[in-house]
Amino acid sequence: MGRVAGVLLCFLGALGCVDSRSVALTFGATGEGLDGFMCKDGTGKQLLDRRSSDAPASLVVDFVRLGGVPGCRVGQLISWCATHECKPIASTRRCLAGVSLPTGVSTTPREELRGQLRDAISQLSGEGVTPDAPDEFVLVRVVGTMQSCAELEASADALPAFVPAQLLGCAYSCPVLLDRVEQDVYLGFDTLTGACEQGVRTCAAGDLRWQI
Amino acid sequence: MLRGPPTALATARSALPGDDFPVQLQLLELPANAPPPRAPLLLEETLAAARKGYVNADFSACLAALEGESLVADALAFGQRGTAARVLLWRAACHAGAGRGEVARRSARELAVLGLELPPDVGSVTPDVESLLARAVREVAALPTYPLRVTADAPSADLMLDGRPNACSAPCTLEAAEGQHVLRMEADGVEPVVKRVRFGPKESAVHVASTAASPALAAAQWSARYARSVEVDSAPSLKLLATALRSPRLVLVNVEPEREQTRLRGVVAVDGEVAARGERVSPSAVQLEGLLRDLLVEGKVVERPPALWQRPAFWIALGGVAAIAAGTTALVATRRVRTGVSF
Repeated sequence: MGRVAGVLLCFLGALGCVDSRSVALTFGATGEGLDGFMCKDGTGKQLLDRRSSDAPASLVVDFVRLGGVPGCRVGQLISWCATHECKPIASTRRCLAGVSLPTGVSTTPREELRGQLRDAISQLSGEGVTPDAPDEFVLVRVVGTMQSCAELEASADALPAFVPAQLLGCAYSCPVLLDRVEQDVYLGFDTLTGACEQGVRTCAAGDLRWQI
Repeated sequence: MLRGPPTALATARSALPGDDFPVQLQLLELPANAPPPRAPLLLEETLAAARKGYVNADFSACLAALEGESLVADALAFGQRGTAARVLLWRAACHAGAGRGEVARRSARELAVLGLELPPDVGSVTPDVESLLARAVREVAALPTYPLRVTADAPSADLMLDGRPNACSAPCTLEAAEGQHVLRMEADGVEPVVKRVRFGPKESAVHVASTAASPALAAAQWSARYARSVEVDSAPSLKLLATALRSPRLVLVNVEPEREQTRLRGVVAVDGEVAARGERVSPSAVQLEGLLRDLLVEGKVVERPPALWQRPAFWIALGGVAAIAAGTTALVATRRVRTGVSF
């Protein structure tokens, strides 16, 4: 009855009515989507160890416009983006500063590191990303970086590029229409090896192309 | 269609929705083992008969065995360059034996223009025939080649020239010696096309038109390219499946067991084009019905059940109330969706 009354008032006010809903981002119940934050570089060092323990990390959330509905696997996305413009929507970038990602972890066992990352990410629970997601199919991308939020803010409708040497990790969702999805949006990272720095650079690229 | 390990599939099948689902679902099998089209025989008996005729100096019998304008083109259309070379070699030999030197030279030249290697049978012909063939090869090698621009109406069309596979993908430009050549075009979703084309100073372009593949051929193409590929849920794969299964609307769900849960990745295609994708994780495959509903709504195969305010009866009642209270009112309202996203 309350809903009917609400709709009635909305109608009589002759205003555009708005259906509000919310969606949460998740890296999976056990943090299985955090593989992109456990990548090592060519020397075997964890990307997370690029920063010292007192240096802050930023998590940047972008909604990447796809112009269609490509497949979810890395190869399918790269192939799609070779012929379509896959660029983050500048106005929707959200940067979370001062995130406490673990560091000094190059010798930490993988699953223990996953637990530490899961704990760090759980500190963000409830943190808002956007009050109004784009009304089109997008890919949600989360990039961890040593760059500050001020460096990464949009200016003149353009987004600064991530500095590859300061990347800490990356994760992304399948193409999704957020206005219609009815459950949490899963963020993950396809890799079969821990030496996945190249994958992180591709994930964080401005146009989702192979980064050699 | 469902795809995944047998035990996971059994669970998924049991989670398929029942009769109250908004559309009728038909579970189809993926054409994973569709046989490829059969290539013609290699003409071994025909060539043996020709050779026997030559050896017995019965050149009429030899040439009769090799009759047929399309023998060489058919062999080249299926990549059988050795067979095509042998047909032309024995024609040259038998025409030469029958005293038709000019016709023999034409057969030898055709072999050279097509760029065919001299087959091992050359050891069985007389030295003058061998010399005829070698001269033809030398002469053609010294001549210029000519370009021919090839276009096709099928996307990602693979071209085979004179039996050599992977010549290029149309649109592209091929180079060959002046004369008649055999071009074969293959692409997913269309019937292969074989065309005689001419390269020369006056020819510059040729267009290859195609027709849609039969369901059986589309199934064989899908089976060869996608059945065991990670690209099974890609747009080209679904387009081909729609043809193979004669299904204008189809849903493919990958059932992927993980450590303590099952991941369901689904895609719906309408008229061969991807309309929506979705993913769910659950302890087993019980979320299958939910995923199917999401896909069918996002893919606009079914409408989301209308909210109260979208039902005509509501507005009729409301209009009646408003009319009683204060006269009539216009009935236009738009409803936007605002989705907040958070961690």
